[in-house]
Amino acid sequence: MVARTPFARVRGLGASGTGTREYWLIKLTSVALLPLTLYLAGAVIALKNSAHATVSAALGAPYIAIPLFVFVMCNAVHMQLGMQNIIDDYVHTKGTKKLAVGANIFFTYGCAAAALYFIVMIGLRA
Amino acid sequence: MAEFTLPKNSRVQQGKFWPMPKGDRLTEFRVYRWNPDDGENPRIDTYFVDREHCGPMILDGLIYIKNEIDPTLTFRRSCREGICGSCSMNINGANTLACTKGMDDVGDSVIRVYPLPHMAVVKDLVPDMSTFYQQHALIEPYLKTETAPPQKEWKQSPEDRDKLDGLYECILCACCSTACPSYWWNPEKYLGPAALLQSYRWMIDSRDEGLAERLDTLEDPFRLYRCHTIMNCANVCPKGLNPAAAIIEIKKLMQEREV
Ligand code: SF4
Ligand code: SF4
Ligand code: FES
Repeated sequence: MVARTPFARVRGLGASGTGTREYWLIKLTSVALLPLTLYLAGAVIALKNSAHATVSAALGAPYIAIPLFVFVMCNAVHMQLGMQNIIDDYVHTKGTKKLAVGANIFFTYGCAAAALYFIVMIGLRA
Repeated sequence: MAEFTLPKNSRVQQGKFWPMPKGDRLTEFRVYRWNPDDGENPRIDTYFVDREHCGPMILDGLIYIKNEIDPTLTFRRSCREGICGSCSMNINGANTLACTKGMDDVGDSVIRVYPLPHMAVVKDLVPDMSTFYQQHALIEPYLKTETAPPQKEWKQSPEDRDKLDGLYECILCACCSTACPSYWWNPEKYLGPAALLQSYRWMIDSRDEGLAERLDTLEDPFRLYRCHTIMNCANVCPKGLNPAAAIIEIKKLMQEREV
């Protein structure tokens, strides 16, 4: 272990020059998710007792499909950045951290890719 | 990983019961003790302070213990009026200055005194402050200018001077930073509320020309963005300052520049 002075340790590798955009994106997506969630929850309630064909048709219609698209993407960004914050707070071991950051990106965007695929498929078949 | 339990050699044990002085008005103190030289775990010693022969503040009680009962008790103090920032410690669960906290104001008949949390202990109630001070050094807490200095002095309007109120009063006691969970988990990479409040103090000084560099220094997910507005800092500051609000202002400046 190299014994460094307290100032060298505090300075570390320097400022990375990032952080603001991510911080802003988290706020932006949380604001966007609020009305989107309400709107889509409303749609689900409205379709509660409808037949399968009606629901597929509604999911294919632009007034549901487009907000749903945006919802899935905002959710993925929000989830990825939120989890990144938790990792930054608590995970400090180099290897574990890289693994956690990578897994987080694969998981969040993987989920989003799957969701978008099914939205498209339902829309095309409706 | 962040550590949520104390390492074995830091677990606190039952300590000594020191003899009670005579007197009707006694206040019980339970004080954290640790000596780096004896190889023992930390312990909690119990003392009784005779209120008839002691001032009203917690620091008075500690000085009484040191003078009358146990001269080995070690703590920092200097001004005994809340201006030097030396006597910060954790009293009944909250960080504060021992010299401005009354024995009758802790809301309990027993007074429990620990060093500032999540800091390496030098001895008893004395924490190692070197990282904390270097974080203050990193934000360059002085006027930075490029323009040639004026003949007499850098002038400032009374309105601009007013903007420094609520910031310049910081005494660097570290009560805020050591109460901040984000600072506990990233004590070196996150600068902590005290250093960030001071950085903002210079950012908005109308005479300072270093704003751009000051923002560059803080543009980092760890140095600045570990703050999640938990507000522990504002709750404990013995000078009544609000570092959380200053940090929000820094984030606004960052966004003005980036977004
Ligand atoms: S508001 Fe920020 S600096 Fe203050 S205690 Fe919370 S996380 Fe720490
Ligand atoms: S902001 Fe308050 S608590 Fe923090 S170091 Fe300054 S005086 Fe102490
Ligand atoms: S002794 Fe100076 S602040 Fe308490």
